[in-house]
Amino acid sequence: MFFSSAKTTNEENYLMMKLARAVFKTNNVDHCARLCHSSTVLGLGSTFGSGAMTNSISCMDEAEVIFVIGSNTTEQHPLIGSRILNAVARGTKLIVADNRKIRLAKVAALHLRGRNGTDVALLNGMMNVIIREGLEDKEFISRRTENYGELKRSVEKYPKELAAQITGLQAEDIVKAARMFAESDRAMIVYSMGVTQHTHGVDNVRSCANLAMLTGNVGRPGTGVNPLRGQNNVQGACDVGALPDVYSGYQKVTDADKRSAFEKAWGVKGLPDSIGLTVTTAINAAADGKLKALFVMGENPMMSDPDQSHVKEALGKLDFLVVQDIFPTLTSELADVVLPAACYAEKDGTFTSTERRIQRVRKAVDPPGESKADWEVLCGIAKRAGYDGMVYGSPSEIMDEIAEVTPIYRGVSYDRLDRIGLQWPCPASGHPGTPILHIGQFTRGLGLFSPADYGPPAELPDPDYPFVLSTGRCYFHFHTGTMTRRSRILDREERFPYVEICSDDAKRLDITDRERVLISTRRGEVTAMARVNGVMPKGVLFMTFHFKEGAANLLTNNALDSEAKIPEYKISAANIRRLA
Amino acid sequence: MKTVTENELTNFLESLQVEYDVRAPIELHDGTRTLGRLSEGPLAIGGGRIHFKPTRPFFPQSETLFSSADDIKTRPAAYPNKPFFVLGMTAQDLDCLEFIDKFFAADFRDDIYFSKRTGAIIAGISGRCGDSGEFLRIAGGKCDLELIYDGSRYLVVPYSGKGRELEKRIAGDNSVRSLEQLRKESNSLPDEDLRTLKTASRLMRQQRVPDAFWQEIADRCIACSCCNYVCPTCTCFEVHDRRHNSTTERRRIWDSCQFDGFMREASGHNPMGAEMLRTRRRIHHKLVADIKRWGHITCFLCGRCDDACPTGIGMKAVCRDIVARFGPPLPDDMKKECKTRSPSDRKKGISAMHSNVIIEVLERASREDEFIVQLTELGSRALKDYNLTWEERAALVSGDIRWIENHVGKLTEPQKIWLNCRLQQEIW
Repeated sequence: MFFSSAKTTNEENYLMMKLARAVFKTNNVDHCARLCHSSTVLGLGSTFGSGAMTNSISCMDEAEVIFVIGSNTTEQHPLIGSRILNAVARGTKLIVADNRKIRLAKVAALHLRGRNGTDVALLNGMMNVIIREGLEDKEFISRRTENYGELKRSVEKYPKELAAQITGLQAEDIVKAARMFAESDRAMIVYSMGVTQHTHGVDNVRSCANLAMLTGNVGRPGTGVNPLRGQNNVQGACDVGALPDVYSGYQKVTDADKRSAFEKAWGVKGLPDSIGLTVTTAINAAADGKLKALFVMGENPMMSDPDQSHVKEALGKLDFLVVQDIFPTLTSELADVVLPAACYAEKDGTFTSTERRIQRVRKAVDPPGESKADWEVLCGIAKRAGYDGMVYGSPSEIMDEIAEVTPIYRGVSYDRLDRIGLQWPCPASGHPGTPILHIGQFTRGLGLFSPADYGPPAELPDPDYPFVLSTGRCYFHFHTGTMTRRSRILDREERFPYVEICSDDAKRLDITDRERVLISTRRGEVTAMARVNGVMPKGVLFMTFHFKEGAANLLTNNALDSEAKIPEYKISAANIRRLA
Repeated sequence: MKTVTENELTNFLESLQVEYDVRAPIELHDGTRTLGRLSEGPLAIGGGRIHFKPTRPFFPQSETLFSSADDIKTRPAAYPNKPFFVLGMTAQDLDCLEFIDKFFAADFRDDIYFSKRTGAIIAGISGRCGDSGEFLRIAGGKCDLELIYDGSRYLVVPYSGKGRELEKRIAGDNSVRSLEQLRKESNSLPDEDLRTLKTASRLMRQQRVPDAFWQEIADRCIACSCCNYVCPTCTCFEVHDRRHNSTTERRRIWDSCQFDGFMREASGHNPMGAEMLRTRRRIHHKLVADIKRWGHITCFLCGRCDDACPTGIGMKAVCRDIVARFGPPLPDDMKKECKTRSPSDRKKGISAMHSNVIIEVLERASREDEFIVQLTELGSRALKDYNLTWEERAALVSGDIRWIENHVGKLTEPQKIWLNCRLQQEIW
């Protein structure tokens, strides 16, 4: 199994999947997009035909209404969050659906603080109001979409009262949100992990797509369904095929024509035709003793994957673990071989941003010690494995190969990327790139309404574990902290693992601000510092997964979305108490 | 005085590299400009101030103060081999440099700073080399030599002995071009920003800017800290030790007062633990606290924080907001005026033409609800098309009926609609 990395370049992700497929003849290649936006890739892929942000970041300036659902944008995508703040200052109406009182909620026209994991009910409730009040875009529906009848029948089951009952919101607020969104000429949906990291993550994404199609908000400036990708190159890692079911450009491994095209391009025979393991199912397979070897490039599953004890047990059972990274991590401690890698400033390459913009990264300094750029390491391994199809003079040559085999990147080359980059699809060398997808026609032809029913999360609070624990990131740290916790000022800002709790709950449990507390779930327990604030709603706890000394992922539930295999990081039943 | 072309200037700078560590505005691959070495990109003086802190050669983002091996002996940081030659400071940057020279010399002298600053040659830039050819104010001093761009060539004006010495080495046209026209142009540059800054400072000192205002600004701040990191007069740093094998390095790195950890005590208690307090401090320190310590405001209006701030709350923007919302200031001055002038004299204080414009604004507001919304939301920006002084605009935007009636005479009820609206909003 190969874990590729959303932190490394497009060229390196491409080589990782080429190494897996062409040299080791396996589709067992995936990366941490599995843990963040696999729901998006599937959900938007099936409804629109393209699993990426439909619009550009600059479109935020043109929206009349922005509906932010499950994204703490100012903290996790600060520049996009700033755009939203600026748009609101100019008169754009903002709807925020997030039960935490995030910064954006302070300037929102409407803040919906529903129960965790009830997004489908909220979105269906809004669509019910829209159809009932005749606010849908009939012309768009008939000309651009299919399966509307199914959607209509499905959302009929969610009158505002029922939606209010499931979500815990006021029925009038659902109506208000529906009207505000549907009555505007340009309404945009912005979402992130709050939508995707659920056992019904794909349903959440489809429901967002349904709402956008129902109101004709796709394919124009200031509209669209805009998943915000959370790492420098998570979009690119998906684009170039570091996924178990597709080659670069989302070309399916199950398609015999695509397979033979790649066999020809790579000069190999017998590329595997079955879909490989995912990041999450690979760990389960290792725990079951079915997976024997794992090559991890720039990831830290010990900290990032759900249920740490399970991950540790799984990695312990492997015959062979290779970790390639720029710093030692909890995962590299378990490795048989550690390959030191170069960081972004020590190599050339490209990253693809959340708005599908392919941009250059340039080498500024030499890598220290024995470390090498990931692409050089991967080429070295391929050579030692007896494959001579991975010899390149520079990353620019790798991009030329990507362009050759990837229709959406075909017009990309380094000499075109010098300044502001190019947004894919960029199908030819003279093509200017595509700032907005689905203009006039969806990538898949007609937009497919994909109704979804509300289903409860895998684990709900009960008397033993009466709280909902939700996890995420904070402003100052990135993921498992392997980089940001080595930065003096950033580490000073957030030094300790903490858990956010509302003042009512804290008072009831006699917990004071900054006090050490014990948080437990069925998977385990960790200590953290209580942060009593006005951000959290009653009954909900929030932790970040940056701290190995208080690892939130020791607590999370390894329950997966049945299609996307994304874990339900946002909901675990938990308990909290003072540390005596 | 000499005049040089950009080519001649490049040759001159290259020749200096033997004796000096030359830093000048250069263009990077992606089109951005920075203060760099000549080997890192082509010279790019045109385009105005560079985005980063221009004082960075002397006060870098991260530097070693001293190191110590296991033998406990401390070794001072390595002194630079060659003195710096820094080209590219604007007149405002030179004001900033003058201030931080004073800052780093006060109380105890910062040897690390002066190890780089002493002996350095500073060359200012001015004239028609701003962003899109905009005119940059001529400094007329505070540097060793100044390069003033007249649109085709640079006039080299030396101010110090070292500057005069270097000027002699520049191969350029010796024919004397007149500085007169450029000086005139420089002197006629608008100084509205400075007046706004001073007014905002005065309003803050008069306690007329309430916490609610700072909370509003804080709600827009995403704590990116760019304002501090680009500011040439921000000098705060954090000290920490870094251990590598058997050597420990004590380093300092820029810090930001916009971070929670900046003033957090070991106990966890934080006297500046609220975003509102931190946002206020950023402005307050330079416009109020520093007046007490240094006798002057320590923002010199370089404009970097306004350029860098992603949510539009840089120094100039916040000051404009303060003046628009809490002006007109000068209640005391006004009282003084009242004593020395009769009401009819005061009316003469503004021209009949401006008086008509004020009435025009008030009457438009009585007719158009949308205009009232604009006045509320945009403040003085809603009046950008009217020919008014800042004081008149401030009176209109803040709903100061008394000032307006004092200056234009008694208003009719319809004319008071906006002013009453504004007062009812209770935004102070």
